Amino acid sequence: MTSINEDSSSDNERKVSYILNLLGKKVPTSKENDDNDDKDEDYEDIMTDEDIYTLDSLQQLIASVYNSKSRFNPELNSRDEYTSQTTDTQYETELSILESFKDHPNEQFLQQQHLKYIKGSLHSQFPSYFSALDANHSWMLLWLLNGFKVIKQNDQSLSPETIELINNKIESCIIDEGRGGISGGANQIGHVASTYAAILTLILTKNYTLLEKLRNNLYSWFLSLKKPDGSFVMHKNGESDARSIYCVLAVSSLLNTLTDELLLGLESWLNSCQTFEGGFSGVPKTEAHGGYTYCAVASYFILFSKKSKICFDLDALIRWSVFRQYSIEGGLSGRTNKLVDACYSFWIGALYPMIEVLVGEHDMFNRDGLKTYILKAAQNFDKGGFRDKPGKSTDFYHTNYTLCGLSLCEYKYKSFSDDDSEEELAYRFQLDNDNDNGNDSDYKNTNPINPIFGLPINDINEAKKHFIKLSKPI
Amino acid sequence: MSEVQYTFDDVEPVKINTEEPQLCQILYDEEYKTTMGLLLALLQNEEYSDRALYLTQKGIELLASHYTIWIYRYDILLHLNKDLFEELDWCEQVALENEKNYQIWNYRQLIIERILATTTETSRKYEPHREFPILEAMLDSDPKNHHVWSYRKWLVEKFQLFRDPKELEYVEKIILSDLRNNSAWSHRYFLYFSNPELITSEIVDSEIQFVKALIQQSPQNPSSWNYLLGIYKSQKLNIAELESFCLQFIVLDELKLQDEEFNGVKSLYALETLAKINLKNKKYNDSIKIYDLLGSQYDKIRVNYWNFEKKKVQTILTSI
Repeated sequence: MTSINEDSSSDNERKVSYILNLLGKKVPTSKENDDNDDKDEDYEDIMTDEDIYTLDSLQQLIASVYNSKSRFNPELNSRDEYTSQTTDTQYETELSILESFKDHPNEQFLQQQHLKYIKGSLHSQFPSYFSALDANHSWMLLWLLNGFKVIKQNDQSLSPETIELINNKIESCIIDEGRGGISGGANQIGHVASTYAAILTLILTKNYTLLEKLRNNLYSWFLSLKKPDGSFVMHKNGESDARSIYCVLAVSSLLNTLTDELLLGLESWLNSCQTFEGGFSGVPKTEAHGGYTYCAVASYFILFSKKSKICFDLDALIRWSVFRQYSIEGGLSGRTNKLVDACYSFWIGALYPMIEVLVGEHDMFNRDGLKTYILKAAQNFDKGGFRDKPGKSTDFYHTNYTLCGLSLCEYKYKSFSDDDSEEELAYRFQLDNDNDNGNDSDYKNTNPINPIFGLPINDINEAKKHFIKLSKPI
Repeated sequence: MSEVQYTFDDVEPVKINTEEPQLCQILYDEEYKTTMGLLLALLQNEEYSDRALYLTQKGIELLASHYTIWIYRYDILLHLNKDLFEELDWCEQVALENEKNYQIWNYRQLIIERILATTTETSRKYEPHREFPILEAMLDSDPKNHHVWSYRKWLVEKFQLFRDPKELEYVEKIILSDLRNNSAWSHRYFLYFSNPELITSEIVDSEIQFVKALIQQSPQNPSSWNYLLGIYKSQKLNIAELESFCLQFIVLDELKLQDEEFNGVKSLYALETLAKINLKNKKYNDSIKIYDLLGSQYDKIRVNYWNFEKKKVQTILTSI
């Protein structure tokens, strides 16, 4: 092993720490920004002397960013005198975010830069340390293509050649027409999460012909991964958790291959993942976590066609979810006492509309706060794209999920009624235009998404309409 | 292991994603391309050999998150009937070098499950405490590493370590070193309260005392409050018992509350709990007043949520 590769791969390993908590995937990092280090722990070195950082300086900064015209202003609300590694990194993060707010008081959505970043990334050749993403080829395409489609635009589209190249790359990962699933890269073994990313990508390219060829084979493959307890392993001898369940459900639901056999045992398995804090963990009895909570709650929306069927503790989930938003940053964290991270603008952010349509409320979180965090702290002001937080690298993963989060801030959905529809809850999201009062401040930078899949609502509806006509596997 | 031992001249490497044109193309270096190309070729040939095992080590060194290699390596080990204890040692080294790696913990579980499934003689040789040093080293460098904690949970459940003194001592130590380590609190909750048969009234009482003392040290810590409220809920205790405890952190004198110089609330969680206690005690208007305070003064970012909670109380009030 060459030393160059060793260094860069371990460096990259560190840069992608957040995503490992989520879909078991690697975060690509922009090559322009690869000098940044991506670990929370790095703040420790800065925090050696208490004099450097005091509550006073924090309060001064809060005062300095105060803007009477803004619909969100940072507030100090959860301090006490106790200090530890957690409080140190939290303070340091607040400081850097407030500084970003201060430096970018009127930041707008940099549409052209984001489009350029995404198109540029699709057509880039990446240096060898990007090998860290070698088991994530379908994910890279999903993040970039979806990010592109979530940005509201009138004048740009991807060329037919680009779409073809996307399809080609996905095809290079398909194993035996789907009988072995879809892998993260050519000649690797099938993986449920890679399959999810690939299928969603094909839905975005509207490659229904290929999807039709795959659907029954994938169904059989999923069944082969089902464990006696109902859950699914990610691949042969792999782990099973709320992610693998969500990925199987999302793909099977979109392709209309959900059967009783596939669904057996899933509801009670998911119920056992709700923790004493109210969020959900990846496997029963571990810590509540944003990525897994998204997977679990979105899964219920795929499982059920009636609100009344939902039998987890909704009140506890609501409380845990709303406490993910922090009062200084406006952004969202994935776990109690962890730092905000822009990717949770989607994983946690999508929980709010799910909750809102169930309980009939229109504002379960502070949309202006999250929007402020996204535009003034997570946005890469030079090159476009989005990052976890100031000081971190911009990457495809954060770019996509932050754009999705921004969309969730910009749109609201109609509350679900208790009707007799047989349609899964997942497909009942409809925009509530009554909340649109036509102000400048309500200008939309994004297209609306379906919170259960994170794709533009039109792409989901179109796919659903197509595949519902096909018969289910027997 | 020495490289010269093995030759691969007879193997034609398969293609990784090198075709052009290709979107998001990675310019692999030669070593990566050759190693992975050979590995995936051997996998396709279903070759289970020492040279293949050697190559999986090399592949994992190049990219520890390459799930295909881990699964292939596991199959090779079983086919060659390798010493699984040695494999555990090797695994530890890889874990330390790849702190954030995900696959390794599932792999380690597979190996241990396999050891337990073999002859009783072999499985008896396995001692779960051998995991403690590696877990401690991993959590030392990242005390909230989700995958390591999940693995630890699996270990406890597998070997029934819920009341293991070393385990309890460790989780206490790590909580005391950072009261805001929520992973550690979640693990403690799992140890004490996930197994109904092991819960006694003594444990419930002592855990309540334990967490209350730590709330005193950090009244704004959501982790400790969630632990306390979690116990009350799961054990079906009456939260009204917590009224005087909550009041320590709050001076509910309305005049003083309006005076900005006076910080009348040291804990918004105490305030929130008090709103619930008032609801429980049918003091609806007091509960509503607290939700108003939370939304207007102490926790403005969640004003929508506090209004949502308030509306629930108002609904009860109007229905009486």
